[in-house]
Amino acid sequence: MSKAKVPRNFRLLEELEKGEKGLGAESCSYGLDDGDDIMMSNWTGTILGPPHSAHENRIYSVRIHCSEQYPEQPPSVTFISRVNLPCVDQTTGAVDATKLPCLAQWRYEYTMEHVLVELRRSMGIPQNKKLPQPPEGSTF
Amino acid sequence: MALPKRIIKETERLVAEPVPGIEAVPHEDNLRYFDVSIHGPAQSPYEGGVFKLELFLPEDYPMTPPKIRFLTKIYHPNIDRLGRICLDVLKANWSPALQIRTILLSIQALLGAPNPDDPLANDVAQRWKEDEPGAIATAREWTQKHAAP
Amino acid sequence: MSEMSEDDFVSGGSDGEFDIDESMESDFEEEEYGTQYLDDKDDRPQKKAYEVDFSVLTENQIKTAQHNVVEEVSSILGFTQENSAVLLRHFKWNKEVLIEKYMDGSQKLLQEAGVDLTGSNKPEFKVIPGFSCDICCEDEPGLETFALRCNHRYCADCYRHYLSQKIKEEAEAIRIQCPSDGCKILIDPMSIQMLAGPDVMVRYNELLNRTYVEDKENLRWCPAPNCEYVVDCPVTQKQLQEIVPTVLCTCGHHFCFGCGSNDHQPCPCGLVKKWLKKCEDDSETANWISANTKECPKCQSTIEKNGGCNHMTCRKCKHEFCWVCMGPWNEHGTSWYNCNRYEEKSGIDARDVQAKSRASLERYLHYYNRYANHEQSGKLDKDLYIKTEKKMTMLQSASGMSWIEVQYLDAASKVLQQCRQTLKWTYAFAFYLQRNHLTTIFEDNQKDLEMAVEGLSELFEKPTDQLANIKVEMMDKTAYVSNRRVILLDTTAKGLQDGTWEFTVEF
Repeated sequence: MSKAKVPRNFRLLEELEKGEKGLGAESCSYGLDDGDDIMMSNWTGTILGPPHSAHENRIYSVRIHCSEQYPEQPPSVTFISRVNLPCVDQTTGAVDATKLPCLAQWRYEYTMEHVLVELRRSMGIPQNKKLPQPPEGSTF
Repeated sequence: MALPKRIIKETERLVAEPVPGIEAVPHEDNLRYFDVSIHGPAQSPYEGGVFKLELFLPEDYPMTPPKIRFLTKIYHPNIDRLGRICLDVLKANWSPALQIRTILLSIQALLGAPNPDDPLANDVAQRWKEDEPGAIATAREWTQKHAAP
Repeated sequence: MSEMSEDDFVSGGSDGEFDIDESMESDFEEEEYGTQYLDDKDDRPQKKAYEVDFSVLTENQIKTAQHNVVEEVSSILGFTQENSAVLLRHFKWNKEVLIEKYMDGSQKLLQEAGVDLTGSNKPEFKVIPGFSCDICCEDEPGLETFALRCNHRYCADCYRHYLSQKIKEEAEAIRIQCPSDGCKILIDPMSIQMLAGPDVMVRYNELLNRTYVEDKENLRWCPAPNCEYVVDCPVTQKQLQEIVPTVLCTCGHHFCFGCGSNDHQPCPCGLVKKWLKKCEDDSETANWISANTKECPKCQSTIEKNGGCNHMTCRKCKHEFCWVCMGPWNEHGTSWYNCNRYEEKSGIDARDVQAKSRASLERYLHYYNRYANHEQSGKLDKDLYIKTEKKMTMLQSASGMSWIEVQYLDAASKVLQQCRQTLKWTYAFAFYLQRNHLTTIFEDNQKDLEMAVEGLSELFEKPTDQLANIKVEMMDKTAYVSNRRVILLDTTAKGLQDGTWEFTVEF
């Protein structure tokens, strides 16, 4: 161990502050579901669909759950908005952690923003950007 | 990198000469991470309560202040719903000569002397200014409900 | 070019889009050589109403300026240059206030500024037997220590870390206090020089310069990335209701001296701030609307806008329409153009609150969409230019034109960019403009500029092989567009100065 290891709660507070101040990526945002949840476990993220893809101008909501083991363990991510992507279970909306590189090769330094940005990127890659999408606004 | 001498000394002293009404115990797997409890000061609405906090000494400590927050719910104008604390010595007025013990004492003092003019929890501060007896009563209720020892 | 004078304009002259004639070209060349209007012999004022006096300073000039004031104050008050500098910084470089306060009592003044002349310790490195540092708890023999006059002693390493934290991480330079809790003594520049490593020193000097510029109302750093020039302009914050002080840095960046944002003429800073705030608050709605208007109004197929021109032709059904209002293009004609003006809806039942709020949203969206459209078009025009630039080389070899001869494309592109920027802000301006008999003048100007810009933008989108043949036309249009902008800015700025515009909000 060469660096001080930031404990879960302080790490989540850092992420929250970054999200609140809007310092992160413009196309993604996230916030606490319940401002009274002292354990900061449940979050909602939004992703603005990338341009030049079937997702352009769509806004997707995802639920993010950070367990007690976060950030040792990756968060679990589930789409609320219906979306057709190879890494998303088409009945539950759950993101298959083995199919999203940043979740599969999770590292301690990764954040929820990383996950949202990577989900957005996966919407825009050539093999996914033209996938037919369910009606806008539908939910799982 | 081994734990800096400063942190080792401070931890030793916290154990050897504990501050009355304050406890700070490092986690075994992370010696920069402390479980803290603070007793509500006498003659304050927090009297009789034991408040749990967590404290973390960041990489640059003591050049940067420790990070601290309440884990016990508390009704106080300078502490928000997530337990974050608004206190000058934790921000701009931090000095590397300050220590964990002095900071925890400052927090205990803050419980005894809420400052609604420098609020973190706006709704609480508002109430504190408009209806102080009512706010104090709520603070007392919350202490009994959430901070019972 | 006399027909383009503002007198003509104010009298509601017929300066429409037909005024393109040979005189345009000569005017254009004037602008190319940067001598616009200056060598005109007539009685026109040298400076346009929208122009302000300013100069661009280098970092060295800033340093010299500081040094001169420090020397002056030092000789008046009899303090060392170092202490004079600390005092000047404390008083935000206001020499007069400093000297006045000094007359009231020098000792108090020094204390207030964090200069301590009473402490007895000489700030230097010392090895003290049996010393233990209160910050790092090191106590090995031979430990190098340091203390200011107040004699709060710590090891030199902690001092260095402390300075590095303050200077590099917290960007603090002039208010770094002794590390001891509650000690208000400032770490003086000499001590900083003794302690800080070269990288920290570089940052420290940068910060000193930065604070100087920030403290002086007449100075502002050029906000362009990596630009190190400073602009000196006498316009004060109080004047920002009457003037939009746009300056041009030596690096080529146009910006507003008042607020530091990109050139936002003709819209005053206060309105820009309100407008951006409003756009942020209402962006969801605006997004929804713009997301829903990207289909051909005739065949509903999706249209991708790939150039800055608003004249759209659907690839599928060949329907021609205006991107802004979605109306058929042929209705725009050349004689009238109703795409810039929001027809205030009349006959709304004032008591119907819902209808009212819907109307106010519609009104906002009208202006917002046009604002956003020019912003977008500006970006697209730039993209287009980058592509064109590559082809300029090809054009040279194909047509036998020289590099100089193809520069008209560069000029056209720059004018387009600038005018899009201006047009964008005319919509924010118009949104807050109280409708009165003068509003029409503004809208007519806006309309003329907008039409001219669309015309030029359309030429710009022609295939490369046609660009050589339309050189003269393009140069004419460029000059014309450029002039329309000058006229619009000039009359708007005059109105601001004279207070003839009425606004729906205070700013």
